[in-house]
Amino acid sequence: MRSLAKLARIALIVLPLVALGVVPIFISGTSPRIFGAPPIMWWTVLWLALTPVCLFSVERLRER
Amino acid sequence: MPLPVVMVGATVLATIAFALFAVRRFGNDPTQFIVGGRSFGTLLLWVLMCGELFTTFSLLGIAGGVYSRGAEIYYPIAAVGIAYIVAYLYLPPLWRYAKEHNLLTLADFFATRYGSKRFGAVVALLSAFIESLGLLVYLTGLQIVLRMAGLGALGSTQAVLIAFGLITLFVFTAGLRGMAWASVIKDVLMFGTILTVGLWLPIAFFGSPAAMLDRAIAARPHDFTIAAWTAGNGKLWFVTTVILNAVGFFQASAVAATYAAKSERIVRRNVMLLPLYTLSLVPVYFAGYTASLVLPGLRGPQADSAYLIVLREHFPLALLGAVCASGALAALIPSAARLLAAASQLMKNVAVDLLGVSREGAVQTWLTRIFIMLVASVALLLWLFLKASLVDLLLFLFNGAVQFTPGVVFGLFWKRASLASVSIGLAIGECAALSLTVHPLPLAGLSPGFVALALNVATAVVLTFALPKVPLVKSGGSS
Repeated sequence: MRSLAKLARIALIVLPLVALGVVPIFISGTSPRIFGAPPIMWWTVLWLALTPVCLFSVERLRER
Repeated sequence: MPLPVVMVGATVLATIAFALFAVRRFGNDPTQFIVGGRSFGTLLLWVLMCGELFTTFSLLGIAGGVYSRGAEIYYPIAAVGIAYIVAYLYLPPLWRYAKEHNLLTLADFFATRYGSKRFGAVVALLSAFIESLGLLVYLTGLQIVLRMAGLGALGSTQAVLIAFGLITLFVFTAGLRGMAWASVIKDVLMFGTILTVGLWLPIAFFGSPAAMLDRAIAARPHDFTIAAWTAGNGKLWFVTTVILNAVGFFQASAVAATYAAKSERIVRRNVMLLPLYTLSLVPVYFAGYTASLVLPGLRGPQADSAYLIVLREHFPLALLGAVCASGALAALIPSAARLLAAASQLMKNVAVDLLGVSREGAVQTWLTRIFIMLVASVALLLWLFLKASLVDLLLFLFNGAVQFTPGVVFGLFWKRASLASVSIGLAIGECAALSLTVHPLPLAGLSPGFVALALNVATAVVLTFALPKVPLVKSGGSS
């Protein structure tokens, strides 16, 4: 159980790192759009908003 | 006098007055002056960090990039997000180490962890030099803002001198604690004006931000895909620039702000909450795209202020005044932070630790104040007389500042990392950063600062393995 929590913590750190640092270079073109925003815009903004969520979850798992 | 200029002046004066009024008297203790007595709670620390980290670059530089560049201009959003993840991993242990060893400055970490006052002094001198270059960037940003507010070339130079003089006297008086209170006004004003302008501009011209983005995509369909791998601003550039900016996001002044936290828990919570303020960058993108549709064809520094020109020509002057006022604070508060970071390192790590000037707290605080005046004067003189020939050095600013981070991270997490390996790594990183700035190489699209950082890290790692183990000076436990 402890190792599972540790794995989850590592995943929650790596996920936003990859989503923000690597994925944007593979996003191409201007669709699909969300609220009019092109993919590169909504993807980076979405993950900027999700980063605190990931870090809060890491913190929760750490405190247990 | 034009209305926006009056608004800028009134805002700067009101902010300083508010902060001086709000700040508690704290005597002449250097710990109070430089790191706020390590007493900041979540909210005050958050406000201070936002105040330091969001500068005229957020307000003008990003908008200019949106105006004139392609998809690579999304790098600040990605980099800031990652910066907080990196910070989450190393700032809490750094705070703990700083508390244990009573550190005041970034250079203190190097001096204490690697057991060499001389190394600390070298880091302090280098860091103070880099922080002063940062001041020149803000001075130029401030002048752009004041010119947009309606001042001419001469008038805006004089206004920059006055504003910078005021902020220098302010940090001279109120230290880090005063800066935190001044940041309250700066953060609220900046957030409010960015949101208003970023939404109002597209709504006024196109009906809604979505409709504006429709037009922007139709007009520049290729500006939403990052270019080929090795292009000048292609995929490799994007990834390496994001890494570079994320690693270098917390510089000497932000490290001092971290030390100011009351507890490690507050550092953690603060880093988790900072991305929320970064969401305020999104309206800047809206403003940049709107300006590129309404007023196309501008180049260079004019592109940076394109949306301000649109504001001036189509909207009530008070709105331009509000943007210029927050722009002025976005230059002045980070300037104060850099002044304090440079001066405190010169005081603590050069004058006191290396030259043994004084062990007395009150003397140290006054010495910091004297260095604040000194650094500010040198920066102003350089800016006034050598601005044009300093462009190359300014590019060095960020690439040079980022080279300190590996030494901090290795120092915290790798017992074996030693003075020799880290200092040689730092020296190679700085030399590479400087030479790549002066003689740019193609590098297959890699960001030059990243190459320098990679050389720094590689040197430190290889040397740490190659050199014989040296026992740590005093780090508790057996080594």
